[in-house]
Amino acid sequence: MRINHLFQALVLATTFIFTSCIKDEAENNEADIEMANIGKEFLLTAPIVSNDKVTFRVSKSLDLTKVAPEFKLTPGATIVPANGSARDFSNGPLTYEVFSESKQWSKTYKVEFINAEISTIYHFDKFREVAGGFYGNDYYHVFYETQLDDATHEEKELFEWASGNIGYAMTDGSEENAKKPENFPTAATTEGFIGTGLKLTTQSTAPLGPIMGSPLAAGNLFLGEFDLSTAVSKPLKGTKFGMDFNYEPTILRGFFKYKRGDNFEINNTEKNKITEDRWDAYAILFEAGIDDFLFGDHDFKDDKIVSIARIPKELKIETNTWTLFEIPFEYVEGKTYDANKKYKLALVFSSSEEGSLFNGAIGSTLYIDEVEILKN
Amino acid sequence: MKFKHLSIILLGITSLFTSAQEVNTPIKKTNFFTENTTVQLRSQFSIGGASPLGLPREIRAIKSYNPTLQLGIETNFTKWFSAEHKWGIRTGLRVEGKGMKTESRVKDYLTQINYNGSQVKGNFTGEVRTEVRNTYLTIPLLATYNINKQWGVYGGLYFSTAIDKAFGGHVHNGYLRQTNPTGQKLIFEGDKKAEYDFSNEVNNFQWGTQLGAEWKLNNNFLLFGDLTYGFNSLLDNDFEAISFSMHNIYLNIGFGYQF
Repeated sequence: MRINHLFQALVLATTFIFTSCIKDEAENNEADIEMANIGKEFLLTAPIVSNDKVTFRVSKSLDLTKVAPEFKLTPGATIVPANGSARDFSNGPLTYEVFSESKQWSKTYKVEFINAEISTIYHFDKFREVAGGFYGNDYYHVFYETQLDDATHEEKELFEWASGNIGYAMTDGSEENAKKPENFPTAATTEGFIGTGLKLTTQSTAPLGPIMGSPLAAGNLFLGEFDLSTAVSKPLKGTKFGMDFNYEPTILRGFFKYKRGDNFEINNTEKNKITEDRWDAYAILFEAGIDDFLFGDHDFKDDKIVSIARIPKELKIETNTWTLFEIPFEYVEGKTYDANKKYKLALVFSSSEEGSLFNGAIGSTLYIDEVEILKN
Repeated sequence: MKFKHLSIILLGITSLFTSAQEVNTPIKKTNFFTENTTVQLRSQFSIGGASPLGLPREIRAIKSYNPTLQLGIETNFTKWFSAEHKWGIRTGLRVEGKGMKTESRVKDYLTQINYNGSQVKGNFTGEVRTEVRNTYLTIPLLATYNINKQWGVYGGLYFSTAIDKAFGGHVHNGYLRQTNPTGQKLIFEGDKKAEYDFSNEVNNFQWGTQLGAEWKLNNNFLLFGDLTYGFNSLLDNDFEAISFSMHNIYLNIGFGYQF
């Protein structure tokens, strides 16, 4: 008994000695833009802030020659040019430099303003190769869409498509085994219907993914944002669906080819509904303020949803010739389109319907090209 | 298994001493190893940890500390310089565990985690769990001085070699900035954690100082307490994923039998 007390006293004393030596907190070394803002009335959707880029999607009424964005920074950090400085963004992105409180670290951000609404025809002809992964030696494709600028007659970038590629780049433990774009679930293919097209493949994350609870990765492409920092712990909350869209959509149309993989793996039996792999594509119009999105776990049940166009199961077939799909938008009971309200559109393509549950067949391959959203 | 090894080693050592005595006893000469010598067998438990000298600023709070059960066993040999057993020198062999478990909150703490098999270096802010469990084979080299019949003090150096190494844990409830404080943020929350294992970076060799005292209950039994402090870093110096060096600091308490 007494030994026990002595022991406890010793533990306490040791803890106390250590604790009493806690030094003053060091100044922050981080140099982040945590949030970005301009007048709310100009924003079409919440600014997309990544680790080194800020994208504002704004309405045409904002004069891009004189914009003064405000940034919320890591506590203690400073930004150059100063917060609230008016700058001319009409000729493209500008850079800002953020300095940490400690002045030991700084980071350069690219800040861009896009004042065109998203297009409704998607050719999947424009993509860039981006380096990723922990060793920076994995390369994958990022699709983007452009539009001819009326004034300058130059191609202007409208938006980037989101995909899980940036996360897939981090499922590889080996520095030697650098991945090429065609090894990724989401990639461009030269065998498009017209020009290049989109190729989505359900890939294995082995050998290391299974340990981390994500045994496979379906190829996906969507309108919205893939938030890597969140996806680490909550994969379905890392996929944020939706981009500002203020028309009444009527039909989702496009071309596809599909080949399913051999072994349908079911990792989530609880929500599993199908017995063999099949592809999926859908568009959802939902009512949304600038900060509202649908997440990967929406399951078509969100109250914000107004209308849905989803590939019916009769069309989720295997075919090696380009096949047309043409799906009408159907309104959720009691919902109508109101031109006075704000909407967003989620448009999602996946090589495995239950990919978000990690159910799918490795090797399932979906080709997509020449997609269009018809509108009233 | 480990204990089995331990006991074999100890048996071997004990029999060495015994056989040395057996060989020497018949030759009735003044012998360095038989005259004015004592042999002790000791067992101890250790409380302490692998700690930086003065906590670095990255460590914001120690949330919990558990010394864990770290045992050791030693046999030693003392040569006294006079028949009064005042001054002497002591050496021996000790098998000892040194370890701890801690949970601390850190800010901007340089580390290297295992993320999907990749070794990712970066700066972590959040909670870190550390578990250290090393077993050493130690040779002490000590001067001993008996103050009176009951009390003796000793001090000197020790040299250790690690025979079993474990230094690891995980980070959770926070975020890692990949490569440096401005790198990509990876958030670990909920059940999500990332493990780290620096066992291979634990130095095989340790040396340091040992200071202590013993109290004799009677002719044979004694209690003792001593402090050991490692001069060299617990982890390899060229291991860069931790920005400060850590030292073995332990208080050892136990009892012994003097032959």
